[in-house]
Amino acid sequence: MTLLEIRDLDAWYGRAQILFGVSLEVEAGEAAVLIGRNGAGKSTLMKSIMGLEAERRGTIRFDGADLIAEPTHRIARRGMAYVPEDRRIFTDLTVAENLAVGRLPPNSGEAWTPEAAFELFPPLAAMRERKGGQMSGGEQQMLTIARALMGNPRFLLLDEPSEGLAPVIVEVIAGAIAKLKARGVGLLLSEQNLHFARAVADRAFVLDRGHIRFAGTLAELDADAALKEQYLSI
Amino acid sequence: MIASFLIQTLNGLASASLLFLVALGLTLIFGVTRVVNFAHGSFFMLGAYLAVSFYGYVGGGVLGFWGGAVFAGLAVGVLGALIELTILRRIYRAPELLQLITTFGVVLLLKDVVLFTWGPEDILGPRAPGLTGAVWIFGKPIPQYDLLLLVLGPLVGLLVWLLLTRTDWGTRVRAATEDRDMAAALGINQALMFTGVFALGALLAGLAGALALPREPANHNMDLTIIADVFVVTVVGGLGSLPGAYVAAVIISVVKAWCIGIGDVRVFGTVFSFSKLTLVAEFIVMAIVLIIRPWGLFGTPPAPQRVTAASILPMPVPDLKRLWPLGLVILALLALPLIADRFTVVLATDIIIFALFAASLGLIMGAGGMASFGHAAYFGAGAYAAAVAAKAGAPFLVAVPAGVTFAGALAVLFGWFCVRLTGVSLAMLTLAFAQITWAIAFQWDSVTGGSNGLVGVWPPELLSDKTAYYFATLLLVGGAILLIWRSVHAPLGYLLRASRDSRIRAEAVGVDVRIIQWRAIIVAGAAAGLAGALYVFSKGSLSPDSLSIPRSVDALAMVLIGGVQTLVGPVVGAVVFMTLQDWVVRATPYWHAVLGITLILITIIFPQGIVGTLRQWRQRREAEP
Repeated sequence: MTLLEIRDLDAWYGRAQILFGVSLEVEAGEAAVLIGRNGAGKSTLMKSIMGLEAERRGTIRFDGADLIAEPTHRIARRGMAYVPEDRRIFTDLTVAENLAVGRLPPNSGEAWTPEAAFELFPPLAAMRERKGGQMSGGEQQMLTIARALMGNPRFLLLDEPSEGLAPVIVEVIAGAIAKLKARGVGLLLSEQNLHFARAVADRAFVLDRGHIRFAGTLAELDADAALKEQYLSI
Repeated sequence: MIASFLIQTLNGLASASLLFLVALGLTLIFGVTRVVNFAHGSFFMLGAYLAVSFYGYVGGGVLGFWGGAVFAGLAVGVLGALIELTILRRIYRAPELLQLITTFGVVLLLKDVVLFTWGPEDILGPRAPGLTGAVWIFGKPIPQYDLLLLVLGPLVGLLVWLLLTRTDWGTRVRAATEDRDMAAALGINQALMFTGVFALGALLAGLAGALALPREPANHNMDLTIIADVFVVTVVGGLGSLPGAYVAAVIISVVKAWCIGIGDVRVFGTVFSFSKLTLVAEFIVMAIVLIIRPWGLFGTPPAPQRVTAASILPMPVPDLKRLWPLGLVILALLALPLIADRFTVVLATDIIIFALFAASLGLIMGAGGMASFGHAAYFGAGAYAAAVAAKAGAPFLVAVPAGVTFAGALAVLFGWFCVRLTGVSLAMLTLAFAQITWAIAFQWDSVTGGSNGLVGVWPPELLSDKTAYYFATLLLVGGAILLIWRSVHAPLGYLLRASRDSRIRAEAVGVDVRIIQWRAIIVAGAAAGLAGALYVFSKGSLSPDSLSIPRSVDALAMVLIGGVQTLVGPVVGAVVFMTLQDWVVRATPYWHAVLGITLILITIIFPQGIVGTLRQWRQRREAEP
């Protein structure tokens, strides 16, 4: 079942157009990865889906509804969750409070609880009363994902989830992604780390200067050396 | 002596409670919406008037007083929600300066609503039932009500703190205060929360207004008096800090109370009246805090603002060949006295004077990017200095330069502090300075004539004819505007604009941003002082109104109407504004309301400023396929 379907999406910051006719699909229980260099438009695409910052035009169909004209909080309540690249933890709030802010009634099925999130990210369980500002980067990354889960999302946008993290934390996050897929959650993550992408994703899109240049499986991407050379190598 | 200090300290703590409630509301609203609500003092005033009316209907007793306070708080809270829904909601994405002007439009509007509803007289309010007596401490009486207030302020503060830290709603508010976009991405409806927080803040101000009644009658100066104090408290305590608001309210109030307690002191045969120095004391406290911690006692340094000027067009060097319309204007101005009657010549003199006033503000706002809500301080300082000099026997040619010099000196003093702040904090500081200047003019009877002002200040024989004075004004104002224009296209202007567009880059290439901004403020202050000096000789008299906050806002309105980013803009704005004012004032006594509504509409219809909005419309048209 196609959960997220984007057609001909254009996006701007002020006068500068960032995305040009982007189209992609992601199914329920599937993880798709956006690959591209810095400045390719990966983060803008995620923000456009959430209705943040950028102006946008096109179609973003999510589970039958068109998100293009909806305000951000309504998009979130439809079950779309967002984990930004810079994490944006509420630094003055404790871990427990950060999770409380993310809480939304489930659209269907069983609701996530803080306890369930702590099972997914065991290190967080011991720091419930710690302020977000006093956590390491890896702890913040786990908290951001846990906070997103409190909204009981059916789809998760993860912007560069493995960036700058210790390998042991990256493993925890990869495990969490696998568990979410198993629960039928759809994911779209952006990555520069192909190794991590191969470990978690089923499908890849290559984004270059606002255009989608490739859509297919990771195996197909790996087979196309010329494409990788043109759009991914530095 | 110690007993007296203790008494005054308790008295100060009681005042601090009221100040704190208003400042708390302002800080809450700012935290979430990033809007400094100028109308917060108006909510305070409305609370007082509403409580008086409630008392009038219900009668005395516990219900009349405490019921009135609850009613006033709730009613002002509802009004706040309505104002948020109809006005503020439309300006959240607008630049700070425009937001400030919109809420000032609300101030003007509510001022006339109060005048219309309750009339111009002060109204004595009820006293708290059962608390009209005094408690004797160290042989001195302390009003029981003061002791209650002293407890009530921190108590309400505690309740708000519990609301923020112990409830889901409060947790969400704190989250949105930190990062409102992220909060929205987690499903929080910002619009609803903003309305709620605005209503809560308004409620606190309305409640404080009602609670102030046993200490002062409901009156028309409450709004600007309290907002100036609250701005000082916010600047001292740190914008957005709850404990900061309380500590600063205590410091300011207690210091003021001590000054009153000290009273007259004889030093080497001269009597110093400390009780009249309360405002100076407030100023000194603020000055010390700003020197040590520019962002306030409990505040955090703001992140340097980058590229706020994305929508500002570079100012072209004027092409001399295209200046012929200016020649026509000059010819028309010279010919005016030949064809116009006496009344028109006097009005034209006023307009020319205010054109200089607006142009001087335009220099620091446009090229400097510094919002001033207290520019009338320099105008009034120039006017008072010239008038005092003339009264002392100085001739016109000495009195006018004296006015310019004094205004310039005041700008040296105020400017030194102003360049340490940016954005809304700067706007709040300028307003506080202007209010302090106004209060000095209002209180210093022996020099300024107090509320009566000064009369009989006339130009010499040679200029006593209205037409002659018109030409003298034209000459002096023309020269001053030419100087301002020149300085914008001189190194000062270039460095000033560079500092505005990117402070960090300007500093990185070796520009001392503060010195440059300071110089611009001094030039603008001196020019405004000239306008003030010319104004007093034109009118022959002077009252504290000439440096009141509404006068400062007149200048802002002129600059805004004409356009900030041109040199001609403020001058054109002054002409439009003065003509309009002359016309409206004769048609209705509610000029403030008309001006307020105009300001609100302009800022809502053109949220990016007139030029910016037009450009946005064009951009959107280009983007269509």
